[in-house]
Parts: sequence; structure tokens; C-alpha cells
Amino acid sequence: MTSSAPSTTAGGRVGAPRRQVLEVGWFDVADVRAGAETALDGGVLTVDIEELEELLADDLFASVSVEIVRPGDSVRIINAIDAVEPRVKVDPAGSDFSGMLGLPRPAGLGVTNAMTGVAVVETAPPVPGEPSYWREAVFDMTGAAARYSPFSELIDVVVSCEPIRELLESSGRPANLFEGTPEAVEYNKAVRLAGLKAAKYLAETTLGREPDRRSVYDLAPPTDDGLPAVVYLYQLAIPYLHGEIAPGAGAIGGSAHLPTPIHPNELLDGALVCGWNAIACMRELTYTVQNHAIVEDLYARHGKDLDFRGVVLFTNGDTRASKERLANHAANLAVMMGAEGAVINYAGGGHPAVDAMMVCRNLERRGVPTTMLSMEMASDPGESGFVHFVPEADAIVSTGNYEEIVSFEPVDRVIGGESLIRIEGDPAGGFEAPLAVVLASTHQFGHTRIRGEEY
Amino acid sequence: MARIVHYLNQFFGGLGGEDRAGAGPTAEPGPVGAGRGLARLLDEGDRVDATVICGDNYMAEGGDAALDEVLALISACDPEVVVAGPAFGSGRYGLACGAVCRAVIDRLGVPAVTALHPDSPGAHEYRARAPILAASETAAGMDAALRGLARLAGKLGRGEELGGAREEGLLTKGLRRNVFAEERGSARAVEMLLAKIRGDPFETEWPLPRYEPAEPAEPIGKGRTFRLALVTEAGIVPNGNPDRLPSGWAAHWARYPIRDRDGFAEGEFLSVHGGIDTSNANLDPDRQVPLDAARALEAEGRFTLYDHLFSTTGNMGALSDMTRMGEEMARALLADGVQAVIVGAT
Repeated sequence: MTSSAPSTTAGGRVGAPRRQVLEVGWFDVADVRAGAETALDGGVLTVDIEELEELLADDLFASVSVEIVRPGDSVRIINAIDAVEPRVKVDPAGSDFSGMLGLPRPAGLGVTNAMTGVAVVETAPPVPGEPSYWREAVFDMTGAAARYSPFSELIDVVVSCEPIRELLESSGRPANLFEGTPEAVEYNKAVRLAGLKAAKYLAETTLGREPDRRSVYDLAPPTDDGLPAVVYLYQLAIPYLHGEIAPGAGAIGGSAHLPTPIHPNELLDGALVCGWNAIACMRELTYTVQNHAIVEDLYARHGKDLDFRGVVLFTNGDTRASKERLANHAANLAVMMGAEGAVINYAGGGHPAVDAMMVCRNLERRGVPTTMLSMEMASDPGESGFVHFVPEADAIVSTGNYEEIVSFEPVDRVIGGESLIRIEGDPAGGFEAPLAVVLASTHQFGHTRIRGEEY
Repeated sequence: MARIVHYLNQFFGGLGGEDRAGAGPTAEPGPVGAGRGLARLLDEGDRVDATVICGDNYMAEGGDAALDEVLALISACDPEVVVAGPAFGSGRYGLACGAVCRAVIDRLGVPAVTALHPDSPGAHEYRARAPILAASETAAGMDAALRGLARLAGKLGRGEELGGAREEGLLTKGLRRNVFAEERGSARAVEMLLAKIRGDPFETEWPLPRYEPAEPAEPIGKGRTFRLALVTEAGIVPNGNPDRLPSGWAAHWARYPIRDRDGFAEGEFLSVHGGIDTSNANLDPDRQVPLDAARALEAEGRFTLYDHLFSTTGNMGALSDMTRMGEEMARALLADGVQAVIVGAT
């Protein structure tokens, strides 16, 4: 096809092609306080704690308690599950967190209100039957360890969920160590839903108000047609995608699904929600997807230095054949989208390292220059920290070595449970632990400034 | 004010060429040979107190004893800093400079520095053990190397910490640590991509490793009987996990008798591997470690099966731990007369 006909809308009018445009209205929150009525006034968010706790009650929880913590507080958050930025859909109303708080709805278009400077963080102790050995997720609001988590710098509305006794006494054995028993999966999902509900509840205070700033996310074709087309290939961990664990994610119980193209606005607008308690440093938190650093930074250069063409979601296979199939298709989609350059993130873990590298190899072999974001895993000096690599991966951005040991100083108060999981001793005490346990510290989207360096 | 002892080989120490490479170590007062150039470049107050000279062959062939002799001479001069070389790309001399610096740092507790070409054998051997200034391949870069050594010796003499490798012109140690970059990772990735697309220079933040290739063994000839062992990193253990193999980051392995078994029954054995879906392995552990199939082949007289399964968990394993365990297993198997191994991987 050498020319394109003008598009025709349903109404028969001739116009520009329809695009998926998202407008986000930003409301800067300078402080969060407990108060009689939940409201936003002059950058101060007041929260009716009792009303919020009642809203978040669930049959699987013995109790829910909400607390507000600020940077500098002598507080340690443990057993963190997810973090969510308070957001509410203005238009189309009611389409918040598609598939999670209601039926799946179109996401990534219309208008969304978002609060900056604040995050909802859910905590919940593990119950029998869930894979707990990499579930440890900690961050400090003060002290040396507070440098490593983005949530140490935000005001956090912490939602602590206590499981009912039946869950704590359940003796079911998981079908596999990856997923956990159905009861444990339901419990963790209920905790995540509590976080999403709280995020929406807080952001509803913005409705009908003028935001401090607006951002428009629009993949409008650049006026300068000489800009290189760039596709982002997003290796998923195990998220909910429109309310269901993304097909093939984690290759649980079978082989990978074919990669899928998706509009970046869907990522920013709640279509992807944290679905699994991966290692804390690399957990695919709802907050890090809502504020997807790679998507944001590609948008920031769109129309100026590059032509952002969209996102390809891919997972990982668990056989050689499924990996080859996946990696071939991912490169096919990127090339089909016109990619002249590509960014890949590696999701973390063993299998995904192979698939991410194979996607990189295929793109490079098809003439698409590629950079990859990767965390490092070197537990011993002199160890490379690579799980797998291909010679084509010559442009890697390190998001930090998560095996590096960091020091935690004693704190006055711990929120999120009575004990840590892998770290022994008093949870309020001082201890040393790998950076892996710090929430979003070496995050695969390049969310933080931590990087590994050879010395 | 730093008292420096300088280490040189026979050539740069003015003893002579290859004909004097067998010369044993001697100490001279003050700077000698190439050391005179170094002395002129030192900060005011720093001085080369003594020079220890030793032939390349004497060091290369003399082993620990030769190094001990050199170290004793250096120690007797009571240095505050030791400078070795520059040795540029040379083999024996570079290795000697590296060995001297490492021994001075580790055994005398005195800072030391040398200058070597990045691809020289001494640089490969000692880069993680001693600060090594990046030098040119030949003595054409003498002046730059001496200037760098003079600067670094001054810093070390003042008790200052050396800065990052790039800042100081040092070879990296090949170790990794975390730092905070100016920009977040995503912004750096987009920047690196644009440079790569434009054909501008860019530098990966994580250079790819170079592994030693693992060469497969020669095939066992047809018609020969042999003893076969089954080894797994799938975390296959008897129910109850008596040796407490972890589901990840394993640092030990276990052996389980299989002499009386024709296979692994569901419930009696299971996988504790935390990085894979273990459902099928738990339903039929033979699909992870094919004991049933091995017994059937054994019955055909193809081989005899070793009496134990060696098991560990490969998930998240550290390369150093895995290498050590592989060596331990191999030693045990060789001692028991095993000629072939099947490693069931996940």
C-alpha cells in the first residue's frame, strides 16, 4: 500500500485517525493527615481512617488497619505486598483498575486524576501454603537503608491486613512452590484489591477539582519523520492484566503465550496490576507500572528525539521450543511496528533471563539496535552476576546488584507483622540483608538511580 | 612525605638484558634506572628510598621462595608505599610486579601500586588484588606511566583512599558494587539507545562475562560397559527433605541411596526447587531424574548404575558454590569408579 485513504468515523465524517489519548491530571500532595473527613485541601490530604478501614474489610481479613508514615519517621515497613499510586478515572468514570474493581474496561484513554507524593502500600503476613522464601519485602522511612526504596521518599498510607485464623491454620500443600495454595492466592489477591480500593478512595477527593499539572500521553506521529522508531519490549513478571493473570506469565504450568502488542497508556492507566510476590527489589508493583519509568522516558523524548511506536508484552517459555517461538514472535512484532531501535527490560529470575536475551539477540540480528535494562545478581566478588547472556547484548543498563549486602539501622516501630521471613531476629533491630529484600530497589524498569559499577 | 621502595626487573634496574634474567634480588639505596624518572615526578617530600631489583626468570621460576626473598628486602627498607614497574605488556615482569604488590599489601600491610597493560598476564592475574594503573603495551608509554605512578604513590603515601577506577586511570578489579547514578535507569537506557542508533559511542554498564568453556568429555566407546551416575540440580529429595536442601541459593548437596529402587514413587521423593513449576516432578520424580529408564537400560546390560543419586538445587545458585559442588561431586564419583554422568537439569 503506497497511500492511505482518509479514515472514516462511524458518523461518516472524514477526519484524523483515532488515537488512544490519555490525559492525567496531577495533584501534588504535600502532607497526609488523619481527620474526621476524607478530603483534599491545599495539597493536604485528610483521611477518615475509620471509614477507609471499613471500606477495605474482607472475609479473608481478621482486621485491616490504616496508618500514615512519612519520610524521616523511625518506621520500618515489612511484609509489603504492593504499592499503588492514588488514582481515579474521571472519564470514562468507573473504569479504574480494569478487571480488578469491576468488569474489564478500556484503559489508557480519557482522563485520570493522580496524586503525587503519596502511595498506598499494603502489608500482610504470609500464610501457610504460599511461596514465602522470596516474599520478604521491607523498606525503612529513615536511616541508611532508606536510600534504596522509592517508597521511603513518599508519604505512605499503609494498609495492614491480618489474615483470618482459618488461613493461618490451613495445612494445604501448594501444587507447586511457585504459586501457592488456592487459599493463599485468594488471600494475596484480596490484599491487592484492598490497596487498589484505597488508592481509588483517596484519589476520589480530586474529583471536580483543577489539577496542579496535566500530562497528555499521545503517540501522535512526529512532525519530523526522520526520527527513529522505537518499540519497548516489556518482559512481564506475573501481573494481573485486565483482571486476569497475564496469559503465559511466569510460564506457570505450561509454555509461553505469543507476545502481545499493547498501547503504553494501558500500562499507565491501571490495566496492569501487581499479581505476584516476586523478590521485593524486582516486584512488578502497581505503582511502578502506573509510573512506568521506561514508558515515561520514551514519551518524554517522543516527537523530539524518537518516534515511540508502542509496547510489546512478552513473558518467558519453559522449554527451548517455547522460548524460540516467543523470541521470534517478539522480534516480528517489533519489526512490524517499524522498530529502528528497541528497549527491553528483563523481568528477573532464571528462565526470563534466557528469553530476554534471546529477544535481544533476535532484534539485533534483524538490524534493530537494542538496549536492555537488567538487574545484577552477583553474590560473590568475582562472580559475573549473569544468568544468561548473548554476545549481541552489548548495551545493558544496570539497575543494580541485588545481592549486595546493605545495613538496616534499628527503628522505633515496625508496621506489617510480628516477624520477618528470611531475616532472623527482632524486626525492629539492626541487621544486614541483601538489597533484594528492599521494595523496588533494583527495579527492572529503571525506576531508581541505583546501578552496578565495576571497580 | 612518603618513603617509597621501588621494585624493578634486571632490565629497567640497569643490571642487563636477558642474560641477567636469572639474577637474584638485590636492594640499592635511592632510585635506580627507570626509578630516576619516577623520583623526578614525585610530589615534594615523597622520595624513593630504595630500589629492589630482581631478574625476571628468578621470579618466574623461584616461586614463593623468590617472592619471600624480595619481600624480605622490601620489608627491611621499611617503606610507606611500594611502587612496582611499570612493566607494560611484558609477561614475566608484569606477573612479578603483580605478585610483589599483592604480597606487600597482604603480608606487610603497606599500600602498593604497579602499572601494566590491561591485556597482560599480570593484569589478568592480579587486578582484583592490587591497584594497577593502565599502561601502554610498550615502554613508549614510560612517561605517562611514571607520572601516574608518582601521583598514585603520593596519594597512597598520604593515606588517601583511591577513587574509582576510571577517575584514577586504574584497571577495574572486575568486581561489582552499587552506586547512585545521576539519572534513573530508564533515562539512561533511552539515552544509550539513541547513541547506539546514531552510531555514536556508547558504553554498556554491564560488560558481558567471558566464561571458561566446559568441553564435553570424549564419548565412551561402543560396546564398553561403564558405571553411570545420576546427578540432579532439580532439588529431588526424599519426602521430609532430611538434608534440608533449600529451594534456592543452595550451598550444599546431598546423596541418596538408590540401589534398591527401580524408580522414584510419588510421595516418597519430591522436588524442593523454588524456581520451577514442580507439579509434574512431584507427580512422578522419574521425569526429573530418569531412574526408571536408567534401570531398564541397565537390565539390557548397557551399563551399571551407581548406587547414589547426588542432588542439589540449582535455583538462584551462586556460580562459585555451584562450581565447588560440581568439583566435590566429580571427585566423589571418580573415587567410586564412575565413568559417566547424566545431569538432569531444570
